[in-house]
Amino acid sequence: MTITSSDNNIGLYVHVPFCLRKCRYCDFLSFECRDDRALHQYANALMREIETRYEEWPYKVVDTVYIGGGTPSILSETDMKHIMECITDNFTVVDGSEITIEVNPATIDEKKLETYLAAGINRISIGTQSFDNSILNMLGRVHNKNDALNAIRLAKKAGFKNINVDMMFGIPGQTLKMWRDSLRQCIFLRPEHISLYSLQIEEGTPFYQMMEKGTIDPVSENVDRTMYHDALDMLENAGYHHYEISNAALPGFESRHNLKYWSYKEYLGMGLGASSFIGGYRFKNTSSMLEYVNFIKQGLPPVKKEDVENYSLRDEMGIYVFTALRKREGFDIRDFEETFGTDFFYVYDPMLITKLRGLIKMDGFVMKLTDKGLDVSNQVMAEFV
Amino acid sequence: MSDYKQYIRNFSIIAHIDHGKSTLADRMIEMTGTVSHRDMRDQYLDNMELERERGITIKLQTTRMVFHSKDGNEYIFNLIDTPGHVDFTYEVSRSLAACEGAVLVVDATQGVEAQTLANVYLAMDEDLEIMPVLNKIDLPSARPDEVRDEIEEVIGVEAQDAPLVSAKEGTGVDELLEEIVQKIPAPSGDENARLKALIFDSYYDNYKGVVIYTRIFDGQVKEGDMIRLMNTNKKYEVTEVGVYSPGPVECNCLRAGEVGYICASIKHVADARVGDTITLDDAPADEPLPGYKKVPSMVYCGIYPAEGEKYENVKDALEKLQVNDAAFHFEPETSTALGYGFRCGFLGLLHMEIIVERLEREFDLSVITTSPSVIYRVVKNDGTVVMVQNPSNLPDPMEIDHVEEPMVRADIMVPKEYVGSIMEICQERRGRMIHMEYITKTRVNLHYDMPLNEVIYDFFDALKSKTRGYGSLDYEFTKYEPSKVVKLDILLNKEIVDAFSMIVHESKAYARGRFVCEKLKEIIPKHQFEVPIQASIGQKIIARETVRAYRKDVIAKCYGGDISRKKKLLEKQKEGKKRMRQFGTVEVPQEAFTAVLKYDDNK
Repeated sequence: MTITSSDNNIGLYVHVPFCLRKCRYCDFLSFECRDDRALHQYANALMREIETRYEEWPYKVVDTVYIGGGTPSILSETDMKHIMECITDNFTVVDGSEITIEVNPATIDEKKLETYLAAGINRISIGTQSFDNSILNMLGRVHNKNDALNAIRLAKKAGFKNINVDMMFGIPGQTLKMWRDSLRQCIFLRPEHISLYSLQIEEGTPFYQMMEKGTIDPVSENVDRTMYHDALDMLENAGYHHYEISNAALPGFESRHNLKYWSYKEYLGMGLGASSFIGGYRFKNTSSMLEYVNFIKQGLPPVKKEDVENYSLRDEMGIYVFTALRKREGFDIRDFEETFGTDFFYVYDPMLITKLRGLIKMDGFVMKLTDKGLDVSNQVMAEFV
Repeated sequence: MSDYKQYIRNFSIIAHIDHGKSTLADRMIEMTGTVSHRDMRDQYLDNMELERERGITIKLQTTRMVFHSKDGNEYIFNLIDTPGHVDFTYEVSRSLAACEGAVLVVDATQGVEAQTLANVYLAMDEDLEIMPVLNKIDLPSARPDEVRDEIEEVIGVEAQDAPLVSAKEGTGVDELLEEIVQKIPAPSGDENARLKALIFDSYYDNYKGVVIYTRIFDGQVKEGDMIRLMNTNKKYEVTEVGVYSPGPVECNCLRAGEVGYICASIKHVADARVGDTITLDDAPADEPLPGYKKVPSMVYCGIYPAEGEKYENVKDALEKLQVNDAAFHFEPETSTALGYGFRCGFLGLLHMEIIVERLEREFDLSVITTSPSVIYRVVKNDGTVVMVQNPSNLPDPMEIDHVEEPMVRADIMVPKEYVGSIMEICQERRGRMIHMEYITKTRVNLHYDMPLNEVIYDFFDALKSKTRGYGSLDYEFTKYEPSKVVKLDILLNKEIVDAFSMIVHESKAYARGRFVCEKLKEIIPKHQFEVPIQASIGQKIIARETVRAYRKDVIAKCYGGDISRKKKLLEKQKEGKKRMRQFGTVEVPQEAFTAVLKYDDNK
């Protein structure tokens, strides 16, 4: 299967799989690490991968970079500076690119922020989650409310003009009022971008065990949805544009990197376990650190054969639709038809529109989720895969 | 020529389930060199994948072995391996009728079990020589002396010099083979008399047509003979005769006393019914062999094609299964909830489970089964009698004078410490104790009169669970008895789903209604609207549960562009939906139909 996106500019994703401490809800690929040498070694391996990857895709032009984790800010300033240099030295990164780094409020200071800016990073995403100490404690975050406030203040002061704040709801013990208060606090600080995540208690996490034992009660679906829709109202009233299921931004500050994921654009992931969609291929780097390091030592892309997906055209169509439906503006089925060279309603039964009535709507050629559809988006998306 | 018969031994191995029957058969096959050691695999005769997996024998198998005895002669052993579960009594009786003797395998650690007894009685009915063998003597917990006494006391056969074997390790098997020569009588019969051969099994082969397993009692049969099946009175030309060793080996002819197979281009298995007598068309025998014991279906249920499955495919598969299984039969029926399907009759619950599993595995079909039911005898006000095996066919209560339900006599053998809990579960199931006897100091045989209805639901599971697997059960239909039964309906979103309807005793209706509602609540996924689940008797609602509407079904985070992970999740969700059955606006997973029947330890 080879489909190349019409827009040739790609996004780069760089994964840093380390945290000071693993949060209780976290099932991402991330390890607790306080060993500076190990972090430094990883940074070196990552740079080797960046070089290898560039050689694979030398003709690709980059217009977004996203350094995510884990906690990328756990790396030393020097290492981060070198990683950024490595990216810009190798890849063609266009002027005005959106370059984001994720940080944990407890791991940044003025000096780090200045280094980031100097290295070309122009967007910062702060993993605040809440402004309530009891909730932060519950989540097992390493920071408290003051750290969170301070981090945002520091970022502004340092000169970041594009700040995202992550907020989480549906947390055991969190009341509607606690959530509204936290979000109000967040809006008051006026970050350019706010992400809203509904907590999912995933198997294998400490939260899951606690739930099994009965020491925590998951928030009811009703409360969770009330929190979500309350948040959307508050954000809308404050002038934020709810542009994707879990994201809102002041106009013009929608995350261009994240939108690539939802708009069938190409991206290249580097670092442990990072995913890519490029040149018509979807693949994923190995999640084993040992394997990763071995691949890199041999100068090979760190991808095992079985981690290259072999999707059919029909699979890709499903991906196109379910990712695009995450956007509030939905998608134009003519764009779908142009991408795949086939009629949308040849692939999908027109009766689906009737079946999903109330959950999706058609606006001319544009298909999107309704407000109700937002709450049960999986039900809708499952129909298209 | 006339003395060939004295070198033939036809025998079965009978045992309680798990006492090592198939392992012993394996060892015999191996030690007589019938199958080379290299080609040997465990439980050689259990061909079906299902049999190997469950470790049980479902279908009888036959194999011919050549044994070189110490007396210098060569003997032909025809071993007919039989199923061991209570449901397959019929299959056991068929194979026993083809033998002169039976090797009775008793586990030297466990002793005599209910099924052992039942099988021994069947063998005695056929006048077979019974030869007890103690198996598993390699285990430290073996207590051969006690078990010997037990066999003599309970079964009444001489057991002091019963061979001690370990089928697993092969010890004692040689001696056992010699003993078979000594103890089991050679077949009688006259190869010059008119042909009389018994069909004791058959299966359909795509190339040869129906392959009949037969025991020749008199006369002989060869390729080219015109045979007549005395029951159906149909004629066929024999295309092949042979023996199983254990694969098919063609031979010139089968003579009196021998066991083998016959092919005669028979297209329909229904034409070669097990139990029929084969004779020659131009020189027929005067009368057929005494008929086999006909076992009626005890349990009925509906089998319906699942969503997307073709009715015709299910029909074809059922027909093919019926070929090999005279105890199984089916007829078309319709359900408002499930559409076109079949009402099927089985010997018992295991038999039913096996047929359904075979449909799924061997024929790759996906089917839905409805609540199993026994046959009720309904006497109407005008005196007419209707036999009802489908709850939907129960006449209007106003027209019914009374209903009778089938009763069984259940023999339950348990170690004495479990007697209390067994009495409890029998009482819960409306059992009446007839009497109780001590077989040995530690083991008790309980005799109960019980409604079959109660036995088929979950009795066996409950028995196993309460006795940690030590309890064993055998039952036999006795009579119909008046009973206060009612029809229990299940409503989803206020609509009756006939596939869930069942006939239950009045005293059980509330508990069962509640149980089914609770179970369905666990199984039916949340919908976009509330789904009430109700149980009713007539117009009266006796239990209710509600599946709340879901408000949320989202994955908020889709991290770092890992689209594949999300795709897999969505695919799984979609796959789950496919296995759902739509009733009006309510989607019900197919496993709901079996889940409402399972025994629940906490109840």
